[in-house]
Amino acid sequence: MKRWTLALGALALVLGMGLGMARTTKVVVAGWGGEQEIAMYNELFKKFNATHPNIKAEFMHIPAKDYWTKITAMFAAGKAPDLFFTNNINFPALASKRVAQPLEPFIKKDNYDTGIFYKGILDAFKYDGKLMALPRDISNLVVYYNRDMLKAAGLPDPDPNWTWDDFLRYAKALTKEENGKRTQWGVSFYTFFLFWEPWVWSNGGRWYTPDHTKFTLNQPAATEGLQFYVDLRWKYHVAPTPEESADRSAYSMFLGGKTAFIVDGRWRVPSLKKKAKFDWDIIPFPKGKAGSIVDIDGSGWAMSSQSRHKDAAWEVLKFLAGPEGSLAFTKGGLIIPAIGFDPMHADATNAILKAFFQPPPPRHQQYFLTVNKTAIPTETFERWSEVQNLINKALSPVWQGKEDVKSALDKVAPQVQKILDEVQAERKK
Amino acid sequence: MHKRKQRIADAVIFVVLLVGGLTMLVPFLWMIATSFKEPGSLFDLPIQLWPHHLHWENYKRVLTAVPFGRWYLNSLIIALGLTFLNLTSGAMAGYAFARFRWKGKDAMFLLSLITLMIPAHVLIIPLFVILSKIGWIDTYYALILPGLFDAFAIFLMRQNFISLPRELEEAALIDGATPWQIYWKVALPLAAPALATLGTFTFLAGWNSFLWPLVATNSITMRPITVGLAVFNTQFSTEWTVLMAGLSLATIPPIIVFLAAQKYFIRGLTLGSLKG
Amino acid sequence: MSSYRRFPWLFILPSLVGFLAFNAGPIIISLLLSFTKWDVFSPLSLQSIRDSWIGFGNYVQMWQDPTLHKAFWNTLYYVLVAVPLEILISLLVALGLNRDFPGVKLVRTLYLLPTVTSIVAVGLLWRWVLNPYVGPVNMFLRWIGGQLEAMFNLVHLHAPATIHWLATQGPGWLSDEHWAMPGVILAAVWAGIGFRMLIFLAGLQNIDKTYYEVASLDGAGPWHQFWYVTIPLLSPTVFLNTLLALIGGFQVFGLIYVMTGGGPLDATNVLLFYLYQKAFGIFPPDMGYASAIAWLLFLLLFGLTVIQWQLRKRWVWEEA
Repeated sequence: MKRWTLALGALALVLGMGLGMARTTKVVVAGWGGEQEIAMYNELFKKFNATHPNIKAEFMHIPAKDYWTKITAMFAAGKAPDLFFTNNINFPALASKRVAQPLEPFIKKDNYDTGIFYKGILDAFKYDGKLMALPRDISNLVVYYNRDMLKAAGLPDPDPNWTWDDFLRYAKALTKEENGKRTQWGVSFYTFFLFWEPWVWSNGGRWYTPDHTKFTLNQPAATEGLQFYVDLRWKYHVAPTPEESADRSAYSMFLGGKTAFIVDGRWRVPSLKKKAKFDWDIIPFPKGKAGSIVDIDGSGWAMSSQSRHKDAAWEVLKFLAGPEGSLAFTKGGLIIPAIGFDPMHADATNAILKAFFQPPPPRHQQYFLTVNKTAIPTETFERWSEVQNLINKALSPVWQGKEDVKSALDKVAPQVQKILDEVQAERKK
Repeated sequence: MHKRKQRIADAVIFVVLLVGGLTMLVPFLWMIATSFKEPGSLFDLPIQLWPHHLHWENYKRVLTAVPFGRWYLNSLIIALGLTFLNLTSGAMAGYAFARFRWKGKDAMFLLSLITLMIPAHVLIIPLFVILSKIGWIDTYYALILPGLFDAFAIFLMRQNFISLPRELEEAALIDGATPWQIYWKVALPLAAPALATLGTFTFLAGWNSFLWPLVATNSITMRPITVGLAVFNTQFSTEWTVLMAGLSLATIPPIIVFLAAQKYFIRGLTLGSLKG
Repeated sequence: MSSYRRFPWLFILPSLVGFLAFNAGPIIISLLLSFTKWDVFSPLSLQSIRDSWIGFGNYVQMWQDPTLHKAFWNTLYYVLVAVPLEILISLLVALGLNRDFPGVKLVRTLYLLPTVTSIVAVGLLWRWVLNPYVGPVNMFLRWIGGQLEAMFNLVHLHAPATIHWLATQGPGWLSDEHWAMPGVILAAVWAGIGFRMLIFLAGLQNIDKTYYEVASLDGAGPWHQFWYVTIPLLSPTVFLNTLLALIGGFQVFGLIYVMTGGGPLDATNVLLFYLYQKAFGIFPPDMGYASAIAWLLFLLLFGLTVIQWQLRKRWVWEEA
């Protein structure tokens, strides 16, 4: 009898030790991205797991278009991934649902320096003053231009301090007509909000007051700026109409040498490098009344409040957002790193910058970083996606040249204001 | 005279049907053509319907950059599994509704029809929650077993059994066969055309399903082709040519199923049933 | 023998198990959710349902939601136009293909191609086909308009405005509020013919050839045979196909998702698309409202089915 218990005890001990040694905490990181990005994650986690024997970081890929469907389903089942990738646009909605873990306690415990990130993008991941995600990348906008077309029209490279008037002058000179039909245009035309916000902001307009109490996109500063953008298409005819572009995307028209300018993001660089059959470069967005203000949006990783291994998740998060992770993603060539130059970590941030500055084109890629000084994040808030739908709908006749900006936005203003009022009431609760 | 008129009418019908059928070919050909185009040239004007050079690199990419073979296998397992379940349970229940009489039969039939009327989109998250409680997420169970009950299958099979002549079954009953024997040996073989039709549809539905496998799988290796290929559809751009290469390869099994099933659903066709 | 008079346990069992295990639960949950403002991020439980309970709030909101009303009328529009067209055309095609001529198998397969082609490819191609400026449909219409206008000019008449419009512009299709739905219907009917035709073909195959032989001996011509043999014997299939087409019509989604995204100005926003937007398209999702829309759709379809079920006894010929 005694021998039995002894044997059992020994067995338990051995088993326990074995389990103890083998016990690793699994940290699941969800994100979207193409197959290159999946490979980058896997490679990074191989490195991480090798140096952290107690943690097993694992990447869960979810297709971009249906990302939130899957994430919300997992939250609904109480089985959310420990870390999940998000952009700052959806962030307030998430944070207000208390699904993201405030990072302050971890930052304090580790004395973690968040100063290495650009302030604009860091602020975009704060809700109620609390930081809830570490950023990975920044998306901003610059003007891409086809230098061959400029040369053919006898125009010099634009000055980085150019104004809207200069922009229009260039665009007019670059629009060509043959037998009453336009065959070449000054600038490609996007209708997605990311691409027209700079015209509002640079004219001194905003979506709403900073505390989200009052809708201001229908105020003169905003509508005049946006109207200028719409006029490029319908008044000055330097941007193709829907008829003229006939299902070709704004980007494919630039790539095909049909338009001389396009206001677009860094993500176009790899494709242009590979496919553009002309000399191209970038220049900051032209200055309006209030300066040159473009979007500084971005994405990063938030820690889920449902995570059962928050300490381990924090280790993974630090690694991903830190110099090593940042370097890996920057090397891929798709992103502008959220880590700027930091004299305190000169070597690490230098390496990232070096990775960012790949061989040209574009010759003037520093502008991707310098525009961040004046850029502001999209004015997102808890119910942004509803507002965005309303505005989209209201502006659709405007893009077709059937209505002016002011009257379209005036019509939708009460509906947006109602949402803002409801959010204010909700916040007070 | 009469014969000649008939022949002319037949010819006209044939030409109309053929022209209609040829339009059906266009998107299919376009999909294949696009899969051979130079990446990025999808919407350039003038739209080229056929590429100038065959670009095999799209196929190379889809076959090497992602676990396409594994996805293919998953799609096959899911579609075949669903088809098997559906044919088995659907035909059995359909027979019960067609040939048995019991209290509450109409109510039960209506209840099963109800499931066709509630959009699946709102059932996905509840089903996900339930299946994740029993730990089935990211397994074939979650991808296949929910197809066990299918009102469409029951409905189709019931309708089919009703329209079959009963004489053979009655003869078997007189010979002392049990209902199961009659079903298995007499009724089911007669239902071959309907089974072929149903099987084709179920296979196709399983092969094309997207939202449920997307939600019900976690790992890349458990995905079917539809979900897997979404990796080429990233935030700001879609690699159409590679996507179309994958989709073109994905049409092969459904076409094989169609061709194989055709033999059954046109079985027994004698010359001109309309003309008598 | 008319029927076995007993409960067919054995035959029902697999379906019953499946229903109880995978269908009943989600259906009940979605019904409960339609009475909540459930925040999708809090784990689903009786507690979270109780916490977010708002009674008939979502249903009241539906009553006042102009977009929902628009989606409702759009859905009716779609169903009333697309379903009869789909049934009629696919029946005609099935009759035409239910005979033996060289290459019939090939032609049948052609009609099924849209069913195997990815819906994304189908939708994208139709977008191009219907492109008002460069698409072949409008090019053809412009050509016809031009010919007509020339004919008027030939006799020194002023062509009517419609013809001039056709010759110079033509319908705006997917980018025009009034033409977007016809455009979608055109594509959907075209793509749906194969599926419906296959069901009709299966029904036609089941008709016992002796009926035709008997009718033929009685001296019935092809037209008589069609009316008095084919149609009655095919009526269960017509019933089945119509019911399925109605259900499918009320739940139209895929092509709208690819072709128009519900636009322009909600002109093609149908109930299921609106539901999808509420459940997965906005952030955070409004699953409660989406569920309420689902149950509204259900009520509509259920009502229709009950009506059809009653009518069935009148027009469907069943061997009793």
